[in-house]
Amino acid sequence: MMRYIKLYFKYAKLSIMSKLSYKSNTIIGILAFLFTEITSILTLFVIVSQVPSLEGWNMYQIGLLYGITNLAIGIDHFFTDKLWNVAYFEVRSGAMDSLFLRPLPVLFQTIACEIQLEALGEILTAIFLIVFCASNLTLMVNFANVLLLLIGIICASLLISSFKIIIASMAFAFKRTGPFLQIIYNFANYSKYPLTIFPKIIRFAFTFLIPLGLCIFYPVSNLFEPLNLGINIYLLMVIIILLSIIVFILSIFIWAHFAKKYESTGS
Amino acid sequence: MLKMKKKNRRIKKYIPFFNAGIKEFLVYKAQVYGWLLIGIIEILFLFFLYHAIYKNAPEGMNSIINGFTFYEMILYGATSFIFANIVSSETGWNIFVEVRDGTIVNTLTKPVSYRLRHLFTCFGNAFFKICFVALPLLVILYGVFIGFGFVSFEPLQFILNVLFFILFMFVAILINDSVQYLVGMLTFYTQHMFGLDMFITSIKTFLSGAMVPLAYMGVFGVVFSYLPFAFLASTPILVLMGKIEILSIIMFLAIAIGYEILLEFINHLLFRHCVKKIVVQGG
Repeated sequence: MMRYIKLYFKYAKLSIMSKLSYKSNTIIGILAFLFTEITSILTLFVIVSQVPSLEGWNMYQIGLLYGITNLAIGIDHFFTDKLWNVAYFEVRSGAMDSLFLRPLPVLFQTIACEIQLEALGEILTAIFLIVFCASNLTLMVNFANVLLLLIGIICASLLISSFKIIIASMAFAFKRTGPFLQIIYNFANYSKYPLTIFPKIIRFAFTFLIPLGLCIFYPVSNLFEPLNLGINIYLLMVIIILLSIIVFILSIFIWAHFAKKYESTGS
Repeated sequence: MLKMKKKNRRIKKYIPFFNAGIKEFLVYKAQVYGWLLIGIIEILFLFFLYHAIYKNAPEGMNSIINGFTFYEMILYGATSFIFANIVSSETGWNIFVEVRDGTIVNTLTKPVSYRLRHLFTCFGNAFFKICFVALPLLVILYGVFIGFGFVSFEPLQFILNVLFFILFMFVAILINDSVQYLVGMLTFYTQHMFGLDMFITSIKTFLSGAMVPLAYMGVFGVVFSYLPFAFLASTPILVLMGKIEILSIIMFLAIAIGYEILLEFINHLLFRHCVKKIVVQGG
């Protein structure tokens, strides 16, 4: 385990060094993400400001939910961006060959070899939005609520990464699965809105099938008024942690299964 | 007569690029299905989002927000999604790849205009997308909305809207390709595309009214409607939906053509400067 941790940091250092050798590109990338997020937030406010509240959620509450979901997406983006390349290009072009030849797990190398600094633009905007909205709200801040929120953010990131691993691994068999990865991202984008605006079937999907709602929506709601789910808050934490770990382990098995189907391009 | 023949020959040599654009798109049929699936999900979520907005508005589902009824908003969103696909262009990325790989040198030594080559490839792509993807989808979309009485149009007025929409669509393809070409030219200096493309895409998405109609943005929306980006989504869609009067349509068309000429002029100057900057690795 220690070997992998050491190796991860070495890979990460190399990735950061190589990114920083093209400083202007990295800065443009960070600014581009920052700008994209700002325009997305402006769009959200333009839409939501048309009504006094959206199913009981005011603009700041929606902003907080939006910021926290974006933070989870940003963290995943920072650590696992390489999976996009796998799903779109690298299997098709045969660029994965070198990873298969090394005496290390392919998934480990795929994730470790790229730290996406551009995601900092996303993370910074999310933090700004969270601070701005939280300062305009009266929140129920206590140890349990904050812990639930932190666990929710980390587990939501892990879940997004797990779904990315599953879809990207299918590229080993189908060559290109990028558009389907986009679908997962679109789902994640809509979990930025209160679940209560969606019909029951979509709420169910966001709670149990793609449980981003479970990880983020309920912990954020809990900051405004106590949850009425009929379970203890600590039990909810355990459910969220277990669910995300199970999905993550499942994604590793699915990756290993599809990796056997990888064919080199021979070029 | 001789002049005409010469002109025909000049256009003829770009036809293979037009065909290549179509073939390029045909190869990625799976992409179309993926895009369609994403579109259906997007529109479904848009439906729920605006349903909640209108339900929470003072007059409920019958509210008219910024000149749009609930169904008009859904129609706007769906048309915007399809329209974005029609006008999308790969020109910037294609130029970037040529610059990065050095293959641009092969292209520049050929007796074809670099700009027209990319433009005709974009037209080939757009032709396929319009005929086989966008047109059937728009017919179904408007057929359903008109058929079920969600929206209504005067028949003659609607035909006129469609004709103007086609004109605006053509201009939008030109403007977007010119913007993409400009971004491609900038990669001569940056040697990097991803960040630039993201930057331009987010500007375009926000200022064109692709995500939300410009009318939602108050006085800023009025200003934005005169910028070139508005012609990539808002104006053509509003024309099709009959939300712009005929005199304004003509004025906007003139402004759009003016922007296109200006962009091409800038591109021409930039290209002349960029060509001098080409660095090709000897590999």
